[in-house]
Amino acid sequence: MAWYEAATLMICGLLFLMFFGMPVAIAFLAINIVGVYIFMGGMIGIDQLVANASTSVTSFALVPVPLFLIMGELLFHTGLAIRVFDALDKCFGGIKGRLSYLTVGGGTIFATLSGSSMANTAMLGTTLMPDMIKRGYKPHMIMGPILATGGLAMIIPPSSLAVLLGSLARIDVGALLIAGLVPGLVLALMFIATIRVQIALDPDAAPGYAAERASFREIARALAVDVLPMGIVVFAVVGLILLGWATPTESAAFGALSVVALSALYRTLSWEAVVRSMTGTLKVSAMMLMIIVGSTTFSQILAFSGASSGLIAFATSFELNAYLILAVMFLVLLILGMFMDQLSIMMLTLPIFMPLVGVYGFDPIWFGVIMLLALELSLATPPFGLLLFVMVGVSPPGTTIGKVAMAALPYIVCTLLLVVLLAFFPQLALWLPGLIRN
Amino acid sequence: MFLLRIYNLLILGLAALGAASLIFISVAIIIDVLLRNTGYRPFQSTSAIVEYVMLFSTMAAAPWLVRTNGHVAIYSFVGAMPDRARLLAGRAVLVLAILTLGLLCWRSAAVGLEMVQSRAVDMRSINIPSWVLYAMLSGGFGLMALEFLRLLLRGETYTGSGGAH
Amino acid sequence: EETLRAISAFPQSLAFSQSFKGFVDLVNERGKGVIQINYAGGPEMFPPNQQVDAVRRGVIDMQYGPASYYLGTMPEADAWVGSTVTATAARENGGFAIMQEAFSKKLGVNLLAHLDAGVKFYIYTINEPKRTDDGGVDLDGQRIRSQPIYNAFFEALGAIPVSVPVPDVYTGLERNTFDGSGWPIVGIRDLSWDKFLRYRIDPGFFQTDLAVVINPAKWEGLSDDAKKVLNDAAADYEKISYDNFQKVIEETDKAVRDNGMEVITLEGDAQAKFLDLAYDSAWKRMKDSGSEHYDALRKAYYDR
Ligand code: NA
Ligand code: NA
Repeated sequence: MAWYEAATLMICGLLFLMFFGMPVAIAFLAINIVGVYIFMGGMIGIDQLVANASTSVTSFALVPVPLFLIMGELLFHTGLAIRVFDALDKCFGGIKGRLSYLTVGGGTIFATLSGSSMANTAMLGTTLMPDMIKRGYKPHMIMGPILATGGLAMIIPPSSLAVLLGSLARIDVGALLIAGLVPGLVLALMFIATIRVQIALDPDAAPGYAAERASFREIARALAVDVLPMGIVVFAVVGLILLGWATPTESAAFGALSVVALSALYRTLSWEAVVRSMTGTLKVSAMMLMIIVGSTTFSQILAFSGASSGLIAFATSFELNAYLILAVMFLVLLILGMFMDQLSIMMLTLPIFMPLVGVYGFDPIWFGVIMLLALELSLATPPFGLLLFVMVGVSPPGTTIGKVAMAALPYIVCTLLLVVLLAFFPQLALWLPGLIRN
Repeated sequence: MFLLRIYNLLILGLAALGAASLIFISVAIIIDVLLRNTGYRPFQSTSAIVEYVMLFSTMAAAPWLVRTNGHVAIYSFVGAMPDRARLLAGRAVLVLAILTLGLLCWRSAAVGLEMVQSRAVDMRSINIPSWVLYAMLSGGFGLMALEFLRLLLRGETYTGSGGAH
Repeated sequence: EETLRAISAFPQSLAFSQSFKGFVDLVNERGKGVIQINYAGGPEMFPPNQQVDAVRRGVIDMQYGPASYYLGTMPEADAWVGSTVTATAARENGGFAIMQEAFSKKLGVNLLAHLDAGVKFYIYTINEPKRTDDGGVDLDGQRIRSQPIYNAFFEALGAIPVSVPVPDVYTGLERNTFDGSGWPIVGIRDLSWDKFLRYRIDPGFFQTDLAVVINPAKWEGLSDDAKKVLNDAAADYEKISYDNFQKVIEETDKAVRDNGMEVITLEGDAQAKFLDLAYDSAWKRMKDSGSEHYDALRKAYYDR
């Protein structure tokens, strides 16, 4: 079977099942069965599928997903999140769309804590979504920023994806991590500008009420009582990493612990809050991990069928100038990113891309940052973008993938814009690592 | 009816166990880090157990998610169909899901038995018999298939509209 | 002409996979018109610890990867981990034939080659390790990032083996979350860990256990010519890859030393004690498993 036939079979089959309302996770499994039966030779293929599935989520790297969810759910159900919002309302009463900005700000802070975009998005979604809807934000003003900043976690260090990319592509890991910082922050600024534009275009997108401007005393009190203690949560996650007590994965558990301790101090930790939080955690975590069981094995079968390598070989077979070859590589990453998981994409493309990077004389660190951005996008591009499903999972009933994808669109454009900026101004990525090296 | 009650309890009980196991790994990781940083020896078993719980909690909660419409599905296309076509599509999806999960349940059990016979061991931070993972898969897939069958028998369809809050 | 489809436990870009590619090239050159190998991919197709099962089932024809990933099912893998002789020597003294039997009986695959042997493992530390009075190293209470094959050895040294996934190791070393790590001599620079790991404890211990296995039915179906090409290439490449890696080891050793890594060399009794703890931990593990091949394998693979 030619690579494009294999690709058509797997991808169209998957889309067909998904559009007919089959749960995404089951649709993956169903099409996987068809795939292994054809490509791996019958029943032995199904046994292999089961074997591959057994290792898909039994990985320590995925642990931050449930742990960050526990943290987010607890912040919400114990009312700690609402206290912060109320306090910030007092301080920034006049600014329209302040919670959208807060999402970007808070999300960026958490991106510097966490190395996992999935965990970050799920945590932000569970913490912010319900309150923002209550306050009259239009859903796209909530979901867009959450999706966008969730993805920042793997651009801004620490980032497990950057470490993997560095080691697979033989790029200096430390330099690659640092190189992500400036583009990550630029991206955050672009997100803020996007929110501002969206509010200007549609003033009703964010609630119009102007909270009363509180007195200075009140603001100081609110900040001290409701916002400052959140520093403990931040410390529990990032402080323990910096002190070297815990790895980025482990520190997520301390984040959850700190929320428990804090809510106990505020006397808002009830049995009911715990039960609700754990119910919410289990729902989102099992939903996500079940999709990962299906999608990881889907990626593996797509790779085995030769569909992915066929596409890569085809796309890179043309003689092109430097900018065009960069565009082609980016496009390949985008297309693969629609259907495959990030680790598989890296393992498939790097053996072909890195020699090209050498031939064309690209700086590997700069290319690494661009590749990270493409991989980050893969989580938010339909039809298979894990973050899209996460958002649907944490949103109120009736939220569709289409709505979530539309909400993400302006922010995807931001990332594309940043890639273009990086193509013309490599210094955006290379300045900081160069500074530190010398 | 008694059996049905037991079955319903099983689905809920497994979900509760799945949630409890997530709390357990949080505590286990915290204890591990504390021991390591205070000069004590952490438990070698922690990382292997944590990894296994990731699959366990997923498989334990997955049947309950079917019942509560918690698995994400794309409904907008089907929702725009006329009533009869929608019902038909819904039934077809249920049947296909039952077949898929039933097949996977059977093959997971078969591979698990193979592992019991060959005494295969999964070597992580501690050794765990290989069949354990396949037992979790088989049980999870099987109960999910039963939950979809329950929907089919009750004449309902799966909507995937059970948002988290 | 027959074609075999092969996969590797490591991503194709890594040094060991590149060495396997050398084997594939050798077979393809000698086997023109008789036998060809198509090196299809790595862990993006099958998780590393499921690959040998894929060969057993016949989903894929050939695989290259560490035997110790299957230590729980085939305890004899420790004969390679704890071996002190070259793959070529073991082929001549009958050790390799016993391993072929173990691979066949316990994993259901045919063992073709033990490639890339002779690469040893080392303990690296962030700070200078304390020394004992007899010239050894005192790692008591040190948290060393570990893997299952050397957990027992680290514990015997008094260290605390810590299990940390690879992506977390860089940050962990940067922030001193643990005090050191075990790792083969090659590859320490690939992950930039050498930036933080400034001390290496010599001598190295254990050796690489990379096997090439093939599906039994596929093997039986090959022509005698094809089998001969494969067997000869396997024996030759065991030598070639050993020599290649000796050069890589020399270069890596020089590079890390030039970069300021300090090498703590244990001598005399201290060295003997250190190595005893290492090798005994591997051989004891096999003995405890009750392997029927223990005595024969120890005789063939261990000459310290
Ligand atoms: Na990050
Ligand atoms: Na995608």
